[in-house]
Amino acid sequence: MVQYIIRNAKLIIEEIVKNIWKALLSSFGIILLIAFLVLYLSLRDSVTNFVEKRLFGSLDINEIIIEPKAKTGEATLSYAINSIPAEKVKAIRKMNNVASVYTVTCINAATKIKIELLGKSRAPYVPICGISQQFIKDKVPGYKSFRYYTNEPVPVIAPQVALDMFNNFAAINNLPLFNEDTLKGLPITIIINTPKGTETKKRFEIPAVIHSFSTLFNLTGIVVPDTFVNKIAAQYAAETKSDQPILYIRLYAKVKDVKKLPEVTKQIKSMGLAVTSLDEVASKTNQAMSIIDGFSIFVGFFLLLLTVISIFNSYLIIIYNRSYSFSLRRILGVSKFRIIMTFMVEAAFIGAVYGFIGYTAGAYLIKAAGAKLSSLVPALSGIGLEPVGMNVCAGLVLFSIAISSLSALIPAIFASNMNLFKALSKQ
Amino acid sequence: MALLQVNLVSVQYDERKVLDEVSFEVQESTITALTGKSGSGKTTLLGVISGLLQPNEGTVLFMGDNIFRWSDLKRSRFRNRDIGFVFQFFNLFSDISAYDNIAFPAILNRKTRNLHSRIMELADYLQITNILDRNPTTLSGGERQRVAIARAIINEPKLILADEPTGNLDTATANDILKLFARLRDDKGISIIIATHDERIVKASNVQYHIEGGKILENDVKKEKTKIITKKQQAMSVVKIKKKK
Repeated sequence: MVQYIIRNAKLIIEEIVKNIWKALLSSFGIILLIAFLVLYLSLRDSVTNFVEKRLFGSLDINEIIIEPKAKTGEATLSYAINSIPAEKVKAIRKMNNVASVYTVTCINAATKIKIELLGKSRAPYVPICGISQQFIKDKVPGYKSFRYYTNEPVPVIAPQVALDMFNNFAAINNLPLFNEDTLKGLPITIIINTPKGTETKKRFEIPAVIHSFSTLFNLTGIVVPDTFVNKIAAQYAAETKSDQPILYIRLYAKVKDVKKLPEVTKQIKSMGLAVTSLDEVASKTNQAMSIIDGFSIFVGFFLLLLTVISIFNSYLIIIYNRSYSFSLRRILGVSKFRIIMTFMVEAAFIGAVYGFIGYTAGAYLIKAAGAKLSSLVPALSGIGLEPVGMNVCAGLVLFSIAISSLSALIPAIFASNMNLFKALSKQ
Repeated sequence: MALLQVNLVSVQYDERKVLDEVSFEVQESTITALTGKSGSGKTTLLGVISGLLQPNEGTVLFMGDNIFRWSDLKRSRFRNRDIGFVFQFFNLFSDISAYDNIAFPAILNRKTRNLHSRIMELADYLQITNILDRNPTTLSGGERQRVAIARAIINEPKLILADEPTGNLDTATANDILKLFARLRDDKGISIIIATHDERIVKASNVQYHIEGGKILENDVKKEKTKIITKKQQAMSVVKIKKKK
């Protein structure tokens, strides 16, 4: 058996080398298809990891975020929102299935952070929320220093995505990439302007410093100690004499039993509040992924069809060219089954080799794309593009073998049934 | 019992009947000549006898067994072990040596014990010892045909099917090949069916069948008498089995 396989492999390699251009053309589709699948699967994997790390990573399976509801029904940070009334917070705390509730106090005003880096100054709008030190206990390294002292810069926990933005900035300016440690302690300025429509205009500029980066919070903005937020709110109320609250709160609640999550979510929603849980994040992510999947399946199917047709046609030509050899073998006593198997083994071998080439090409492309992604598409910075692993490679090679063999099956049957004497007399 | 019985075999391509209820027998240790014009159906008949071409009607019995009741695998083994083929254009594998060409059917038959000595014995018998390591493309027509004959008899078949074996050879070489066929019949007891136009083969054969218009005319050379076999005669020892369509 081993001898048979070695002999066949030798013959197949000789046959491929002899017809290298034909073989390349016939199986180019396989390389294209497998490379596309590697690209798609790698991209999907990387995006999924990114989403999981950035969104799901900020929440445990049994955690939910409770926010005031905007008119559209979505949670919002717009200025016209309502805060969560105190009695509702109390009611949530008293729920049987809720283990703990942490309050996040957010500033309801136009807030910016001003960053000066390498001689350039930027001041993007960024939401600011305050949390207690207890909330991040054992979750953020150096949480003990996350404390606000009057007359000292405010410690700021920035979302992980901010680090990617810094690195994006570095990549554009041909600078070495930053890591967390190099940016820790970077002085920034928090700017708070009074909301539009308020009678008394007020602008606060408070020095701050980057404390750390974290994926812990499902927030688009930065996190500061709640004592600072409360102080600003009090100062704002005193200086503007405004009765419009500058703060609103959102709650992080932990459900005792994950099975009760839908029930708790339903109860809180019935209180007129917006709830974000892993379920909801997952469903939104899945919705987006299903669109990507749909498109990819369409492209993949199209490539698959092209591949199958090209292999099928190429094999018909190969069979015509080799009809003499196969007819002679049949006449000398080789069975139909063995003729079919010869073709199938050959096609499988080509499928394996080209499947691997396809994987290598796809992996190379995804690595090249990964290196350029942050500078080409800043919005996608932070997505670490990595080719799919060797287990997927094995799967794709098997898939390639199956496609190649099945595409060659009908031509192989045709070869086994050809008019042998006619084929011989053709030579 | 006859070695081979062809009974009421008909082969039809589209509307054209290539063979029309052909019947004949081949005895052991005989040379049978199949004659007829080009396109008369001689090669088709060889295809049917070897089990490569399923007739629309009729049976082919080899030592009493209907070969079209066998599986493809069994028919393939039958071709490999019991039949040897010799062609007008030799049909040797051009990418391997003469030696490997001869060895091919034996390897396929997994009959590799003493293969080398068998090949050398045959090569000696056919006087091709000095050309065994050469590629067939470098050999003369006569040498190639001898290699093809060696390949045909390496598995010691009971029957050789030869399609115009002298058609591509000069007179002297053709005579040599003819003598060789006669020796194979006499020394090894092999039956040989030769599709041919060559009058010398007809004269050297024991029996001649002439095919015309898809039908067979019998010409027993020794009796020097030609007659059309009637349907009644054809039905002598066979039951007509119509192929289910």
